[in-house]
Amino acid sequence: MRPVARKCVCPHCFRRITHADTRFECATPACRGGEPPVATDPRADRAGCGSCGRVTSRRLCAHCGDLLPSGYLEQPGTLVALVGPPNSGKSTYIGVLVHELRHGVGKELDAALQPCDDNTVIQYEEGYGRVLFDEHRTVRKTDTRLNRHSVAGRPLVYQLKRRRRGLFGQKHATLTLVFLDAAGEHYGSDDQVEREARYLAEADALVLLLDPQDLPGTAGPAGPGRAVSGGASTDVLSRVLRHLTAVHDVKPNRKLRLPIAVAITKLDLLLTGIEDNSPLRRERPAGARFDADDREAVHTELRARLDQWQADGVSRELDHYCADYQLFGISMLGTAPRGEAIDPGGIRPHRIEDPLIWLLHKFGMLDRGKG
Amino acid sequence: MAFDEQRYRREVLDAGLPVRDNLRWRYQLPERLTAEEVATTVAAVRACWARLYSRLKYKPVITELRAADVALRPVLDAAAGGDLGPLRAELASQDSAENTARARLRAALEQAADGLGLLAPAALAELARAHDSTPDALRALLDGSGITLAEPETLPVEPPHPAYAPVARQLEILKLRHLADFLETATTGGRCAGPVRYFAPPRTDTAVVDRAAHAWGRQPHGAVLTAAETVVAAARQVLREQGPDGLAAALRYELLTALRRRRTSRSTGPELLGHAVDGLGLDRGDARRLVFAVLHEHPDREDPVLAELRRLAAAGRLTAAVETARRAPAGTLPPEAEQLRDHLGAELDRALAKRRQAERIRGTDPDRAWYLLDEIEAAVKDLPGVDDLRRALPPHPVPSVTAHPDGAGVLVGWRPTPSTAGEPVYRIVRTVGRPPRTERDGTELPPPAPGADSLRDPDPPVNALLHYGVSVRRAAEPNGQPSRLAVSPPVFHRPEVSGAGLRAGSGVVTARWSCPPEAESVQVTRDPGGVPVPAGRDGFTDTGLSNATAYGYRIRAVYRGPDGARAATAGLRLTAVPSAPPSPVGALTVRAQPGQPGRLVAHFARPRSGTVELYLLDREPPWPAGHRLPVARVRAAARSVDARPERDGGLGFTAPGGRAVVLAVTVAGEDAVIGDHQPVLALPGLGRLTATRRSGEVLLALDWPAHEVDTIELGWSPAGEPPRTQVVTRGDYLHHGGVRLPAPDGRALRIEARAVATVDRRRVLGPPSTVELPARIDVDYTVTRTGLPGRRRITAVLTAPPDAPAGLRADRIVLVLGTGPGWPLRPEEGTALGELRDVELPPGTPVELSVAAPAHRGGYWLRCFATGGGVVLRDPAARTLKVK
Repeated sequence: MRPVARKCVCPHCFRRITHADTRFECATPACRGGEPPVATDPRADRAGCGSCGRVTSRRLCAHCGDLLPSGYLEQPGTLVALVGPPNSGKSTYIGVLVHELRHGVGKELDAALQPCDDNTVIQYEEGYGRVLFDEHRTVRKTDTRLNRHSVAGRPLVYQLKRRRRGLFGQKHATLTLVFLDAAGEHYGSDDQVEREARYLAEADALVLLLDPQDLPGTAGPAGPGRAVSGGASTDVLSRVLRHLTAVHDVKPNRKLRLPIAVAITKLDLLLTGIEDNSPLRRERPAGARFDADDREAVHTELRARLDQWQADGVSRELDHYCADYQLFGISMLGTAPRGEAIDPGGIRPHRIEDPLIWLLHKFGMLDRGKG
Repeated sequence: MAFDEQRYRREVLDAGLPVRDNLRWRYQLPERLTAEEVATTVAAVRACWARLYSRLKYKPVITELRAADVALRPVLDAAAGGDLGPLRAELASQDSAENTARARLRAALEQAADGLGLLAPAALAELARAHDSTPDALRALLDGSGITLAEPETLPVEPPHPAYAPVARQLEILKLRHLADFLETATTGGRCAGPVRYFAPPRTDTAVVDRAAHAWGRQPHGAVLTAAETVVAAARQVLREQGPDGLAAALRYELLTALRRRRTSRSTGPELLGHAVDGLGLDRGDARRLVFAVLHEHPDREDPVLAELRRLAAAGRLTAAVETARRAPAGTLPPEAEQLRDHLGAELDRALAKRRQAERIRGTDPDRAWYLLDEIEAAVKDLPGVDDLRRALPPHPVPSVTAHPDGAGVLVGWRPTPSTAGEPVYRIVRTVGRPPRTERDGTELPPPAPGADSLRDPDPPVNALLHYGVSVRRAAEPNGQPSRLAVSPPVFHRPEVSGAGLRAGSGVVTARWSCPPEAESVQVTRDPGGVPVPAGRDGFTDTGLSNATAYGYRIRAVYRGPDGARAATAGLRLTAVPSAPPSPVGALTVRAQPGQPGRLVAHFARPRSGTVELYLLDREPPWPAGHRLPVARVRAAARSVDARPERDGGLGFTAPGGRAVVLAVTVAGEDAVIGDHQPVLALPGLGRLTATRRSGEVLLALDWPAHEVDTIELGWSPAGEPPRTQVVTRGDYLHHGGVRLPAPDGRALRIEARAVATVDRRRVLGPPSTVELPARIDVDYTVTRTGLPGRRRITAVLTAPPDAPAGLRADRIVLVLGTGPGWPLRPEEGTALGELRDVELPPGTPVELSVAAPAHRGGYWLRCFATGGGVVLRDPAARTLKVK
């Protein structure tokens, strides 16, 4: 089901924008300091430059001055927010997921992932791609001092485009993915959530990462009882849900309708205690489809596992506050890194695309099927 | 000018703290600076510090001198090295600073004299302390300054007689200043004519008082007469009881009281002096001394002699203290000072007794005498004669001295001296032809360490009669008397030939050496048999020898002694084996050793002569095959291989850690000939493989080696299928996050992986790593509920895939009911409703497990589990397992 057409949000500054809140920019670099191109029709998708005469469709957000994806106002982006406590692996998730979308998973889904602007290309290559796949190091902890106004703290904006069959033949569907790699410490207190995680309010979906080492019943390498500013995963979950309930004005007798994918990361650390018949051990059924049975099996298994890991409060809280949530178990690297170095066996992600597959299905870009 | 330690101790160290900031004084530098004198004097001063510090003498002073020496070292080192500029600049800077300080001190002295021209020694000492100077330096500044150093007079505190106390009030009524006015003027407000002498007042006897009483008696009756009669009565009583001296004391007390009263108004010295002269009519000289005394008057002030005694006693200068106490006039010392004097005197007597004892035993037990002097110095630092006595205490001589020539020099040894006091050190001298007579006779040989009991004379005269003498002196007293000299027996130093080396050829041995010029000839014999070999001064050539036979050669140098007799040295013994020239290795092959990863084995045809050695090089050898050269050159250019003979006749060795070239070299004696070579590449192992089944395929992960390996070769063989291979590059592996191999789940699998490389168009394989995966068969199942309530049944249907192997069995299949919020994860988490044991699961054929539905209220979960046989159950849609 596609969400009801709604506001358009700048994927860079997360402010609501209309045509009036944008301006054109000439493609000629020499013209950029002068008068911007203006179209007679305010809803026109292109305008001519008064200096060089070139027609441009480059449209900038008037608030932040960043380039909007092509056709963004006509087909607004779907904003996926990423939330998680410190050390839950948000940066690694972004780095590996984008890589998978550009290679293995993208090929399987017949989807093309295109960065929105040069900033996204540079930021991904410098901060994620080169570190993970060339230098074989883990992504360093996100600096809490970075904010969205600095280059390194800006969101990564991608357009995921794929073909799907419709009633009248094939058509192209585009999804704008916005990843803001905020430092985990931003979710450490209510004040920080209000100030630093403002973009949550404008998100169309939420991917919430939980660090299994924060769950008391798991026996990860770091053991229970980590003391990091920002609190444990369950605390962050509670704060985020409280915040979303407030900004979406959810009545007391209603639940939050925002799709929330709750992903338990670092699954490789937990596999030793998981039986062979568990769906968590299986690969996602191959193919460009959404396998509801597999999804249901994983979700059911994780609900039972949360009880086993003494984190049944997580599922109860989600049950009471969220109308549309799913549990996922993912592993970004496939095996624990050795210090800052990735295992010499390389990066072997496991089910990392599951949350996105579910969200694509939710947003009507992926059909349901069964293997 | 030689360094005079006595003078230095007297002028610098005895002066104590604070130390003058004067380089010339601190280091006793001469007026005319030369680099040599600066170096000598500074070294002597530092040595003096070290000696005295080790004896705990002048420790605070030396500590301060050493601290300053650290900063001054660059300047002094430069001066010692010939650059006197910095030192001269430093001295000039110090002179300027001293002049400024001197002017400042003069001003301070004048201020302290307060216009009186007198200065108390205590004030002088305080000034010296305040200006980091010494009292002597300040005394020197007093010359020509018009200031005299003097102790303030002792002033009376109490009135001379109780009857005289009311006189002061009566004199005020009469408007008189003091008794002299009363006695001389006999008029109200009268003033005596001449100046009044405080320290030598005019004699006042009964006649003078009577005369004054008569004169004052002419006054009419009234207050004036009454006051005058009171004064006369008091004067007469004092005269009667104390005599004229008492009346003189009364006059002094009046004058003193007037000045003390004026002093309480914080008058300065000149003001008090003016008051004394002009106001009280005092003689100016007496007034100056009196004001000086009043100004230095302190009710609690300690007796100056006692203070001096205490200062000297604290400094350990008991001799000076006793002398100071003796100089004081009899009866003037306070009781405390007398007690201190007696105590110090007793201490001094004990020290003198010890000194006498040390003098008595200095010939028999100088160490005991030394320790007695130490005890004296610990108590009395200024006892005269102690240093002289120390210098006359030689340590015991060393008991014996030996000298052993060993061809390369002479090893001189001696037994340590029995003396321990004063840090005994040894002085060794060498003489030629005769024994040394004194400790300074001959060539001095410095010992390797102060307490060493042997030394090597590395360069003694060759073929000369040598004597070594050892004497002992105490380092703590450098000018002290040394011990008697102990002399070694005479020895000769006759070195062997040097640089001797043999070179064996085919049937011949040649030798080369360097003969000492003092040697007359060289004598060579060959073993076996002790056959003499003709030899020159520089070597020999011995021919006609058998190959592969070891020959021993003894090479002796022959010297002619002073008496004309010839003597041969013990000689050098060298061995050589003549051998045929080495033959090169023809064809060399190198391959991996089967069953021993990381080991290689080299095969070659054994050469006719010589021993084959293997060497590793990073690139092609620089010599062609067949090239002959000394084996030392090969060893310098290549890495030797630790090769061991193998059973198959080859030489086995550990593979190098990368690409290398193995070179076969045949060695015979010192000669070598280059043989064949082969390039090798040892690939590393891939370590542990990790394989995980992923629905019809296997994900293989491994620790990709960091270097050398860009490609690996995989081989896998599902049971019952032909083996398959695949080559994977590093890029493929990293891009796909591992290797995905198609493999059916139902078959066991063995995977082998090894590194691959190409060297010289040859394919090289690394050691294999393997992993085995047992068969795993995913079996689908469904759960249905049928029948009416009360007769309802639950049926689980399990169906093995059609491609599953025949005879697939499971040890146990159990249907479990769970009541938790999530489905049961293990059979133990729920209630077993029914089970099948040792059940066969034919491919594609359903197997049923049907049980009666339990009478359970509320929702529950149903789930099947299988154990054993590699069967893994695949759950149906979760909603079909949930019963609401």
